[in-house]
Amino acid sequence: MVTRMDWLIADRLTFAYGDDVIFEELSFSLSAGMVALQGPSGSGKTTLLKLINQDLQPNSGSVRYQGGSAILILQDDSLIPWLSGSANIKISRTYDSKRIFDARIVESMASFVEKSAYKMSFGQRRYVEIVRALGSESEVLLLDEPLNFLDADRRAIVIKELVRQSAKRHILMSTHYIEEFDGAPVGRIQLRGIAPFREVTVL
Amino acid sequence: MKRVGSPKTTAYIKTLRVLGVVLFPAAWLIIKYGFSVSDKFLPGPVDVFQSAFDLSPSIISHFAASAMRLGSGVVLGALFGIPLGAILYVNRSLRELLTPTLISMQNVPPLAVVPFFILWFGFSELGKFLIVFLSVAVNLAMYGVRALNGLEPRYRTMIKSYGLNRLSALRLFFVPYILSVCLPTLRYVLSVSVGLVLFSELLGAQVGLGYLIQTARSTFSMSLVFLVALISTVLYVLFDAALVAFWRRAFPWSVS
Repeated sequence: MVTRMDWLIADRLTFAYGDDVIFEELSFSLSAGMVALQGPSGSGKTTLLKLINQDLQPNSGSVRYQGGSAILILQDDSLIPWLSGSANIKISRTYDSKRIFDARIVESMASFVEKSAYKMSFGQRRYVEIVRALGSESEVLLLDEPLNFLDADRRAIVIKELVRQSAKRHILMSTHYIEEFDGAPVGRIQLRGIAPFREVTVL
Repeated sequence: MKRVGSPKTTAYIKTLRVLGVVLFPAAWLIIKYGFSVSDKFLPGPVDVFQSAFDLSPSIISHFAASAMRLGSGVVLGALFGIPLGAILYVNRSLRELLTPTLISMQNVPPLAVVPFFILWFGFSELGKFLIVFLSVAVNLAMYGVRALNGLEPRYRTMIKSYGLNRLSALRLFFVPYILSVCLPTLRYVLSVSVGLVLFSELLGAQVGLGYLIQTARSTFSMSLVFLVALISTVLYVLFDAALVAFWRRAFPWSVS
């Protein structure tokens, strides 16, 4: 369950790609169940998500989340092209469709879920990938533009599900569709200006 | 100035393809008959064609023997080398242990080791098979490790996020991934393997295209040497075409 405690803490985080410093002595913490990570393109949102997931290592400082496991979905789809949508979902050892509150989410991919991933459209692949993450066990979901390529109907049901799941797990996502969350309790973390970022606005 | 990749007409491309096929025979005829080159240095097409019928066993038997050696070595070498590459990638201890040996084997010119195989295994089929098998397996195993080292970060993230264990990752992802990207390397090792088969037959065989070259050299039969060179090319082209066709069918998602 989400507590009022901070579940993600960045402490004097510094990270650079070679000489290109992205974050410098950046400190912040997050306590809201679901947080939208905002900033212009190229501002380091994906880099921050990768640092949180420990796919990248900071030059100094740290960024840590409470909880044992995280799932990170990047913008490039990571479905295995030669497997069907359902086989891709099953590679998650903890997937259980019962974790997803809204049955429409699983039902609405019935027409393409048995197709090989390489035969699916971008939107279909993205959707399968999100369903896999939503149905898998993890205390933290890190999502990089999860709503891209989805049509308006699917975006709406995914948003509803994300809001529901934020009562049970922590969600940090970058998204350009924040206005579609329509008054849901979504915290915000804003990267303003240009790198190197030394501070962020947490709302 | 024309830009790279600017479209060409279909007719233009087709014409170039036909020209590409007739270029070598045309050059052969022009040099042979245009400059009246002696048969001792360059046999004519009729003599070369004729030499195919003066053989016992027939040229088809020799072709089939070489094709069998090539096919068995390449197929079994690939079936062993590709999973080995994936296993080496996931098992660091094994990788550290075997990589120096595999790199050494990869960097010794394959033709240089053929005499050793003849020495160790005599004129048996096993020696000839092992020459091709090991060359293919080692090259593909090392290629597999390199391909997986360069794996796109999104797949690493996915494997980590969903906690795939080694066996599942090998079965569901690593081995099929190498299969889907290794076609260019496989085509390269196929071309090397044709040379290896012929060279091993040159040193010790009673049948095969390499054996024919050896026979032709001892009898100064230039037309037979020429025939074998042409048939070796046919052997490679047939295997290469079959390989590409199989890959397109078996791994349609592959970008290779």
